[in-house]
Amino acid sequence: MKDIAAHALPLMVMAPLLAGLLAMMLGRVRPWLAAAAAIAGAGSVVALAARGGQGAYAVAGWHRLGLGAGLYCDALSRVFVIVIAAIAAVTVIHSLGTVGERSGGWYGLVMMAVAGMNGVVLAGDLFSLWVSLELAGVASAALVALGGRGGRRGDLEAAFKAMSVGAVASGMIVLALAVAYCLRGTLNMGLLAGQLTGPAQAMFAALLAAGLALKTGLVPFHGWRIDAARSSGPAGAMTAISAGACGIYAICRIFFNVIGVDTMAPLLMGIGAISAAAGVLVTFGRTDVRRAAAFHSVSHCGVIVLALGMGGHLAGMGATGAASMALVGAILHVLNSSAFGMLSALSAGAIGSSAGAADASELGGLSVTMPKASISSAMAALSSAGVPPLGGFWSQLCMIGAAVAGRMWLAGALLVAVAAARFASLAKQRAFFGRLSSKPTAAQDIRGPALAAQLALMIAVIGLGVFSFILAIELANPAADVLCNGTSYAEAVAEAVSRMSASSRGGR
Amino acid sequence: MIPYLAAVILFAVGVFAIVSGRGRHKAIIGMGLVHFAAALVFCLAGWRTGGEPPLVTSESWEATSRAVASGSEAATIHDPTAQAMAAMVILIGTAMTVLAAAIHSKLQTLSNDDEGGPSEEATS
Repeated sequence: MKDIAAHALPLMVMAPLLAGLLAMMLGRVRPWLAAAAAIAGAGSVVALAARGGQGAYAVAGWHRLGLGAGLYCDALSRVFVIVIAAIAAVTVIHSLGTVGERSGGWYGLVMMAVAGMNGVVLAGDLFSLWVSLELAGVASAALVALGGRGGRRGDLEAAFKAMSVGAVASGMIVLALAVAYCLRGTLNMGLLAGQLTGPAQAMFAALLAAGLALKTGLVPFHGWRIDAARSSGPAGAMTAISAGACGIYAICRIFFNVIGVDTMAPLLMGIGAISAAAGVLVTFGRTDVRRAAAFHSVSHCGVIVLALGMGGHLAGMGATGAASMALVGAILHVLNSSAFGMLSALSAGAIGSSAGAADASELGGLSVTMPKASISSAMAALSSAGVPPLGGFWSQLCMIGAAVAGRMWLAGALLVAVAAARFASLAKQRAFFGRLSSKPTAAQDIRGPALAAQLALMIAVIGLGVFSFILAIELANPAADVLCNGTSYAEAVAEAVSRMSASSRGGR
Repeated sequence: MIPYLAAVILFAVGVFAIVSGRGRHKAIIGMGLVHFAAALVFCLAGWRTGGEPPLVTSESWEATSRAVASGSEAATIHDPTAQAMAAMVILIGTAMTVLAAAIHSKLQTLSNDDEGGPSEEATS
């Protein structure tokens, strides 16, 4: 067991790949066996993160030269590893009833996406981060293309759009890496931390900001994410939510720990504010419930980026208490928005697939025919709008509290307005709780694996609210400390590497 | 400077081919161009004027050892790490292009009246 803990970091990438391979083989025998292998893969990642997943991992001493694909895990990485594993597990459970004979390949792709996303959050150098981002992107696009029922035109077009936008983003990120490599001769994040200054820093940051905004699906680069989230089946929801989580992790790590956020904070606040506001405002004129859910998830990503920018700005001003509060709020909102965003997307998808229409103007009174889906949808909407005691309330309260404490009145007002606007734009709730539609529908309520997945998400949404204080102390606060420490990340990595080298010498 | 300019032009043409919306086949070519441009920049990042290929042979090893022992400057070699990263960029770019081409091919075989309805599903 000690050996497993010592090699926990590479295992967190390898375990999903092995589980995917196993799922592909078992899928030929029984679909549920393939699903069990995939869930075991996701569970093993969480177990590894809990047991020994902190510190650094380098291979063959290349790290002394600033080369090689090293892995590094701290409190920030751990939060995202848990989020990714949870999203994957829910996706696998939800899809049990829909993927049928394609289950082996489908679960294999889910696990490949998880391995890529884990690679993103554990990468110790920028090149590995980019490679992992692309691995996750290609697997996610393939999942969207396969869709819930396989090869529908809308799903294929959404996948093609995700690939096209992903290629532009990928090119921008690689160009940024090439600039950094030209100037410093390394892409190791620990060695690059705080080393880029002047015009080089501006060019590196601009290319990365554009690339990561595209990958995350922030406004005005959100088109692919909306289409992916609207595609049939849970893969679209997983792609949209996990792409947001990976993009936000990359923004956190690179802008806070490598570049230094004090100069980047206004850029983050600007992008975040536009996405937060636009993501809600565009839903007012729309009646498509799946599109509304997708736009809300874009808005929540914007809120997180805005809070990160606020945290960076306040830390630069020396208001460490308010900065820490904003960052804790942002990290908690990553957890919350993943849970209620996934729930919202899945319940909206249930309308599309069961009621035969996704336009709220044609629907109404689905709470009579789909009571379970109505409850899950209401739960997601209430948490999203920040109703206590659900998780969304506490994270948004933290962010608004930080804005007030830091006297950032405009940001605070925007956060309050965005949360209030979500109440008014609940097109989906009209479909569930509005007047009973005169158009007869043969809507079937969610059941079986889909019900189990949505039930798990509902418990998570409630649990994130009830245990918010514990989560803030145990998970969010240490992660916020990593961000607050800024470019002293270099010392943390060096210390972790020397600790690892000492323990390996001792082992010999 | 000219190779860097060529990379920038290649990248711009690739991005234009993707975002102009003039057909999926042009977007696929654009995806390839964007990654080739990025790979070119990486190759240039590892380029050393007058450099030797980064291959260790017994002759080059002895020559380097003699140069180091005598205190004279060792022969410059091109950076192999940058070349390895350029190869990886080409590999990933090719994988993305192939997947996009497969999706395009599948889309072409579907007619508008297939399950899933018209193509407006995926427009924003």
